[in-house]
Amino acid sequence: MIKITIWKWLLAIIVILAVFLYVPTFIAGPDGLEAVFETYGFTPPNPIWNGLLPDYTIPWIMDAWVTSLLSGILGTLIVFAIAYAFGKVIIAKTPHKK
Amino acid sequence: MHIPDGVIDLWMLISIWVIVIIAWAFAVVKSRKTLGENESKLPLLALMTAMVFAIQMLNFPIVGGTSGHLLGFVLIAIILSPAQAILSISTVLIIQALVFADGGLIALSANVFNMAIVTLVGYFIYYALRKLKDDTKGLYISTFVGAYVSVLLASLVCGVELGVSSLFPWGIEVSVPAMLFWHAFIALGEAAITTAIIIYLQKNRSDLIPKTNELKLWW
Repeated sequence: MIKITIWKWLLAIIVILAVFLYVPTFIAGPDGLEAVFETYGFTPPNPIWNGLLPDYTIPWIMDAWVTSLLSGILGTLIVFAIAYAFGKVIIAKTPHKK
Repeated sequence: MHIPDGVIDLWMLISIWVIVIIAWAFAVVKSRKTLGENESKLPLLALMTAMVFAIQMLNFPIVGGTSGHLLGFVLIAIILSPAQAILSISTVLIIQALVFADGGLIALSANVFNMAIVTLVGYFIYYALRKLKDDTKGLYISTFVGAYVSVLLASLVCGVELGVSSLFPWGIEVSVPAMLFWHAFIALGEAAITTAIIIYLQKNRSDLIPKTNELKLWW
């Protein structure tokens, strides 16, 4: 039987986010695909959907650290909740449930 | 490596959607059996998924001002299972596209295919190497190699998609080497972070890492 303390680990994730997002190099810079686009002067068309928290920021919070940290915490909690809920749904439909 | 909309041809994205939906159905069937038999693994799946999302926000600098971040597929496949890794990484990609506009909505199929299906090969390499070398050193080496290959292969397939697409003006002779060049470095970061997490877990929570005789090929 695997035992884990959810809140302890979620807190650890948030602390890691807070520490690393404070260092600008961990949020800046194009990724590999964007670097390829930049090298060849290719600009993707404007997106049809800009998201609720575009580019991992909360639009009305300007401070770079606070805005990415809060959107990161929000995202982490959303992902946790969706993954957990989805898991519950598929377990509920399993024919093998004991 | 999150492809935005308007970069890959629609006919390609729709074809890839078909593959992705079949893979999702397969992963759901396999995972619900495993999770249904052992519900205590569900919090771990949700936590690992949330952790991968958070770590993906942290970009590590590589050469030339470019940055990379963890993908996390092999990490989750090792600790949980390949089928659960497909669902977990897909969840991360869906939330990233919907909430953060990181990766396109129609292009989500290509992103799921590259990062949550092609990456299976990385896990299979881990699986094969671990069977060959059944000790702690074998665990670390197979993790490193599997994680490295997973990212490199995902970038190769992404390069092929770009090169074949008529919306990206250059062919695969340009797109594939360009993608492989940057991701040869980014994959090193993937391998290092994945191995570091596995080393930490092996030393502190070795119950979370399947032994060689418990390795899962799919679920």
